[in-house]
Amino acid sequence: MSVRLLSSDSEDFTVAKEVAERSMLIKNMLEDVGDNDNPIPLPNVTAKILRKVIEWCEHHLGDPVTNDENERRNTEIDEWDQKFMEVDQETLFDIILAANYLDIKPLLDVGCKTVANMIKGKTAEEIRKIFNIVNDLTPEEEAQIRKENEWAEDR
Amino acid sequence: MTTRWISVAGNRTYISDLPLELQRKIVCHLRSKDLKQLRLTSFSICELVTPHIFESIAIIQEPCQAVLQHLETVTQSSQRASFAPFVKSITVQQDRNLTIPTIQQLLQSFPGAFNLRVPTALLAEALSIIDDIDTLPALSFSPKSTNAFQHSLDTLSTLLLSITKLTLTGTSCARTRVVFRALIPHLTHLRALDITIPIRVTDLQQYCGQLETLAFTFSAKEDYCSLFKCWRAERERRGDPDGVGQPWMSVTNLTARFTAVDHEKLMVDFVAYLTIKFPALTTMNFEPDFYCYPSSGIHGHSMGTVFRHLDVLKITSINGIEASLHALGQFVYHITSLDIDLNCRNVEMADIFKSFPCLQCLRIWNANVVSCSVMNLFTPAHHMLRSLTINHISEYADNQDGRVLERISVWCPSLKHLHIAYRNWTPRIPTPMCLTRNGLLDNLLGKVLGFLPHSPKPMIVALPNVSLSCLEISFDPDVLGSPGLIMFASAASTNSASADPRILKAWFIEPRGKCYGLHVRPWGNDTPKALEDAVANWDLDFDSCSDIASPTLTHNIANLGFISIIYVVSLPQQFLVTSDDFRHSFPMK
Repeated sequence: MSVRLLSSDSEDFTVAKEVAERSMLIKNMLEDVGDNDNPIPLPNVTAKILRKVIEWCEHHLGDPVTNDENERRNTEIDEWDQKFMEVDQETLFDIILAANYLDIKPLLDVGCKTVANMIKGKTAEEIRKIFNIVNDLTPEEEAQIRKENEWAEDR
Repeated sequence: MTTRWISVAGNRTYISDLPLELQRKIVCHLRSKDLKQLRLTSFSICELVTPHIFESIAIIQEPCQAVLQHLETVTQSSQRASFAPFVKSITVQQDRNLTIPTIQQLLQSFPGAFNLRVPTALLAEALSIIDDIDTLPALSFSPKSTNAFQHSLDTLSTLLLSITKLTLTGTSCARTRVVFRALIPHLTHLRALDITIPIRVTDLQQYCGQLETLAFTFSAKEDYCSLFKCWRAERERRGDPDGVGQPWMSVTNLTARFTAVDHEKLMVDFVAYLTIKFPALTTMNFEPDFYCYPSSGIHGHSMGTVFRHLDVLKITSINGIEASLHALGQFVYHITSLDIDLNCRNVEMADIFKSFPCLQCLRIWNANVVSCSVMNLFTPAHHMLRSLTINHISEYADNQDGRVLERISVWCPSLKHLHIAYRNWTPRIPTPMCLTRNGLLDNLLGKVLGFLPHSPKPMIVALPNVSLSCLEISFDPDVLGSPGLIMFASAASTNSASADPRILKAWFIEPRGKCYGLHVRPWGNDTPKALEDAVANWDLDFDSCSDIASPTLTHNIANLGFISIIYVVSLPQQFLVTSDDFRHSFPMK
């Protein structure tokens, strides 16, 4: 059985129901409206991003669903997901927003971990460069923050 | 709601498009080392990260006054919000100028703090006006001194009202003992207490009846000898032994420190006492410092007492690991998970399995030597163990690096998760038992390695009897100075007469500097074909592989520091490579 999804830029996607139901939002909608030929409008997701999301859902179709937040958080990104997330920053953050909107927690975790991995092991200056962030701290404030950092217990 | 991440002109900062809750989700995946750098990037990010990083503060290198002064400066001069409201836990190390009023000021500045860790010596200040130490035990002070002492006690008890978790570190003296004893009646609200001050358990129990977590140094004379005698007598005359024991039911998490030089039976009696006194324990950290060897035939007996609810046991041993294993085995033989943290002592795997036959998960930390000396063909298999971790400081006995693991794999056929450390494999060349007859190792050791300029260390381990679902190897970047190859090769089972190993999978591992983890990529990429062929086809004519030694070798191959072969019956489903800041999973699909 298949389901039709309509992106914000009016592109129509037909996907297997079990693929679409990786999204809790769509799953709940389908339960509410029952069998229906009308496409489900997704006003917050463009066709480009929806295509990526569907690709991810198809690849992870058989994955066990875990509600254990800790388990999801501690699982590393697998090789396929790493490659899947090798996209420009705009797409990466759009995938994260789409995963959040569509309520696909494992994809949201992969997206957030990918951004976290971009930060890991980097200096403040390197992080600024990666994310185009302007340093708006005064030298005095920066010195204060460095001092405070010494007191934060490592974990 | 979003927080603004100001971008460089012309370049959009996409991360600022994320709602605050998603930005927080990203931050949750970062350790404090990275969060500290993130705080330094911009004003708004600093505000975002601060609550995540300042739950625990440790004032170690500076006096507390410096922190208090800093907080005042931030409040007055900066637009940034202070980190003070987020602090829940405060650790203060030895500070010569530390006073009770300073701690009072600290706790006022961090109103959300409920966990306090301070030096025991701080308590002595409450009695600083008393010169004559002989008057302490009787508390026979002059009226003026008594008033001053009472005032200090009032101050201490008031400032500790908001603290539910108290740790007093370092050694105690006569003054601190007096003050603490006087303070106990004011600590009824505590839920967790960690002290080294000698005091009777029953005195603590009288006032701290709500304690859930206790870390305590037990005294044989004061605490359990007399109580245990009474309990046993009561039991023998069929009275009410539980009435004698006065069980402390609220304590579920106990760290039991215990020092003695005596017979092993004393250890057994001590554990029996713990079962009577703390019957509700679910977690115990057993920390004996016990100079005795187990004597055959004398194990005391448990008299029917056991820890019924205990499911997490850790033995942190300075001395007395053998006696601890024998004693605890009688009272928690049903335990399924055990952590052993030793300090430069030996541990014999057979002793562990004999004491805990239901063990499913075993982690050995910080051990000096792990041995399997009494394991042999006649040793019964331990069918329960599914997860084993032997961490990085451990070594294996008698030049047996690969052989110890091989024996473990033979003895524990149900093992599914094995976590070992690269450092475990010292540069000796043990030949695993199951491979001695096939001569294939000789090809690798004698021919392939000879072609490489730096003679990489061969590290061999055979796991002939287990089908692992996960093999985890952790690397210490400080130790891993040069790149290496890790290969999985097929191994016949121990009983098989012939073995025909093939390389099943292989990975190239390269350190990327202290802070940048490891670079891991599959075998075959950037690897000279001749070397790959030579290792993959063991019977190859190596003389024809002249290009292996040629100057055109890639830099990485020329600098190989180790070549390791892990012989397995079947590939683990998952291969995990980890270091301090790096954890990467390689599915073996």
